[in-house]
Amino acid sequence: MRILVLQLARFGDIYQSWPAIKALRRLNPEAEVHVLVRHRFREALVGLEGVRVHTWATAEILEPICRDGDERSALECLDKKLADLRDLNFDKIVNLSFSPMSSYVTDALAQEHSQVSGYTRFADGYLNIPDDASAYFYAQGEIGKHNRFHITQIFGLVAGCDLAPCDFRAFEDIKPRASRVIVHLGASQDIRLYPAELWVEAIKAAIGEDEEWWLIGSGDERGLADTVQAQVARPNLKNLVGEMKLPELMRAMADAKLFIGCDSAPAQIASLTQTPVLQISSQTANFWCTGPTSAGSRVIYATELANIRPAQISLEARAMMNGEAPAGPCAERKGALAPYELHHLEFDDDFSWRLVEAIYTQTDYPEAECEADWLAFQRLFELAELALQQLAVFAHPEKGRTSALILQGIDEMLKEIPKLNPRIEPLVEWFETERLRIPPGQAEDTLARTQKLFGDLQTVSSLYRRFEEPAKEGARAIDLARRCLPAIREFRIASVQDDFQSLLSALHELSRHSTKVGENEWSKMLGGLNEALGRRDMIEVADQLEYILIPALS
Amino acid sequence: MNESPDKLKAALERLETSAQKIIQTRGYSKDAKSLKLLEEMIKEQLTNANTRSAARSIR
Repeated sequence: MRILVLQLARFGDIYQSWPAIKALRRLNPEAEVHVLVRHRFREALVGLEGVRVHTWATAEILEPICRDGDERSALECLDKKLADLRDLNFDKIVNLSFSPMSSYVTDALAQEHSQVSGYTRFADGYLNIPDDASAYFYAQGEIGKHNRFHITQIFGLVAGCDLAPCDFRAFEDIKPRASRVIVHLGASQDIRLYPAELWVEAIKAAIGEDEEWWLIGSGDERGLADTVQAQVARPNLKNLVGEMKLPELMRAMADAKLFIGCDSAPAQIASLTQTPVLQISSQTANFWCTGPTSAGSRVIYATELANIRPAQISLEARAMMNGEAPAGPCAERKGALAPYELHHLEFDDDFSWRLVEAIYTQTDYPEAECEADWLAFQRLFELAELALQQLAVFAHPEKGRTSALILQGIDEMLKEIPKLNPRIEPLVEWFETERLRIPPGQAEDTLARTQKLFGDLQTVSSLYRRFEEPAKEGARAIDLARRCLPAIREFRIASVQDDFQSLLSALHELSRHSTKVGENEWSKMLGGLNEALGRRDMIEVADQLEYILIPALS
Repeated sequence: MNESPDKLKAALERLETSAQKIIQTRGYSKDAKSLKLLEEMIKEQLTNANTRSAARSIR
């Protein structure tokens, strides 16, 4: 068998792909494993044994365009590169890069018999996400979302491998470690940089006399390192920035007792050499996903990096060097496959994370924690129900056109709900991603799969439906209407938005249980209310509530 | 490559037009695949796209 792994992202992502690639080798000892990386990041594969490396030469392909605006020659070069790779006739292609470009490369290299995982393209050119792990990343993986699964494990799943601790080791033999601490002051992006003056303070307080401390990094970080070295002014702080290539750094890292830095490629190297990492992290990175995996690693977190005090770093570094328990709030990693354990560290997105877990790993759904949660799920339920009603008549020659317009409106509204309550975003993202995964095909199949998805969305959101017996719900609706009325009459509906949304939900729920309210038809009453809302005629809305609805419900 | 953004932008526009025409007439054929791939390569250069998260707007 011939397997191709694509990793067309950067240094850090390539190092984090090592465990999945090593697992592929371990689980397929007879297979040839090929890896495709960008030419400029190929150094990150040095030391990964038993794989054949191919490079994606972006500069060479685009050179005719940059030089002469000649895309024909660029296309010829591209086709040649693709043909060379396609000739290898891969049985399995694993795309670990979550990018549009990589999806086209994967599609171009896949053949009839190739088993493909990771982003690729459908026969009509649209994005195709064939495996659940990649779909998970698409829906939940970006920074700012709520993923807490580690990227190495996600890569393992995309590759179809259960990772083992040995997959995380760059070297089989672990030598005794020297009293050396390696520090990387830089980061892959400026927004992830810790201020130089705070580094100086942290290193000054942490550095021990009988230890060797090294500053490492790329050549363009030399200025920062020179400043820090000069201000720390200790003979045992060596400045090796710009002097080591990544494979050399990997060997040096294997002998080090501790690595300190932000989320960057050296931290990923330290994870592979089993070197404990003290990482400083903020919301510009997701340590749950890309933080260190070596046993004993710790992450100090603050929303803004600059809010991490130098003393936190120095105390934690000393605690790690001395083999002591955490000195302050941090996330600790006990092993490559063990999740982070939090020490006096809290995050405000626990609800969303538990929702992610429930959707993807079948754990229990979290309890709604506030009125906004109830409302958001209620809205999702209503939209799913309306969508199912419209899908049922979608194929009807006369009603189909109207239902298509309504479904379009539902799509728009689905996007709005997470804006009102971002806590339920994982469910909407899951739904949208699964809908995107529906392949091109017969209209009936597409319809059936869409119905199934809306049915699933309705089932999940129904878990959060709140409905008392009709009499109590009616009394609640009256109470809500009375609370909203003064503000509506003064055109301040935004100030009672939550109550008003709750009122609408209660009215819709009541309309499910009876066709009439008092002497009036529910459908007419809700229709009238919606019409007035559509015209933004707040006086009419208030009049309907006060003179028709409240008396009818009383 | 960074010194040629104008040439890349112009090429991107031409490629987008060509790809659209090919897809409309011949569907997502081998030629269209290459054009779309080249398009994406140029977009990455122009936007210095984060290759991990740039997947959002692709369908």
